[in-house]
Amino acid sequence: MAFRERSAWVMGCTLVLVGGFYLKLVIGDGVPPSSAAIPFVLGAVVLSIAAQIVLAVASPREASSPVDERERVVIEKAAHFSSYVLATGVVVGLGAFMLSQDGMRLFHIVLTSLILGQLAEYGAQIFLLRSRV
Amino acid sequence: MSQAALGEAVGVTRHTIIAIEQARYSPSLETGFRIARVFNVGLEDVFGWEGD
Repeated sequence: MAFRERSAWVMGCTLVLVGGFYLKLVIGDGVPPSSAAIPFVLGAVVLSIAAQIVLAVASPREASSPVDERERVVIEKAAHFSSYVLATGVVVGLGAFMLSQDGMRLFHIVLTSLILGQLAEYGAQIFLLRSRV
Repeated sequence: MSQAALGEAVGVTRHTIIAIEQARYSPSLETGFRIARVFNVGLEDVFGWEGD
C-alpha cells in the first residue's frame, strides 16, 4: 500500500473517530457546540499529528519524499470531488437556515459537511490511488 | 533494475512506476523521457500508443 494511501486511511479513521465523538456529544448528549468544539479541534489536531508521526517513523523514506506527479493528480481530483460535498452541505445548511432561522442547525449542518467533505476527500484519494488516473 | 530504483531515478514513487507498468497511469512527457533516458533508449522503445 502506498504511503499516501496509508496516510489517507489513517487521517480518515482519525476524523471518523473524532468527528463521531463530537457529533455524539452535540447531537446525542446535547452538549453545547461551544463546549464540544474545543475538544473536537484539539482532538483532531493532536490525533492527526500523532498519526502522521507514527506513519513517518514507520516509513521515513516515503514520508520525506515529495508528492510525485501521479499523487498530485490524485490529490487535485479528490479535492475537487470533496468540494462538491462541502458545497452541497453549505447550500443545504443555508436553505435550512432560511426556512427555520435556526443558527445552531446551520452550524451543525456546516460542520457536518466539513467533516463529510474531508472524509470524501480521503475516500476519493484511496479510490483514485488504486484506479486508473 | 527494481521499480523503486527506477522511480528514484526519474523522480516518482515505486507505486507510480507500478501504475505506469499496469497502464493505470500515463506519465508526463518529461517522466517518459526520463525513463527512456535511464534505459538509454528512445521514447517509443518504452512507450506505445494504440490509439482510440
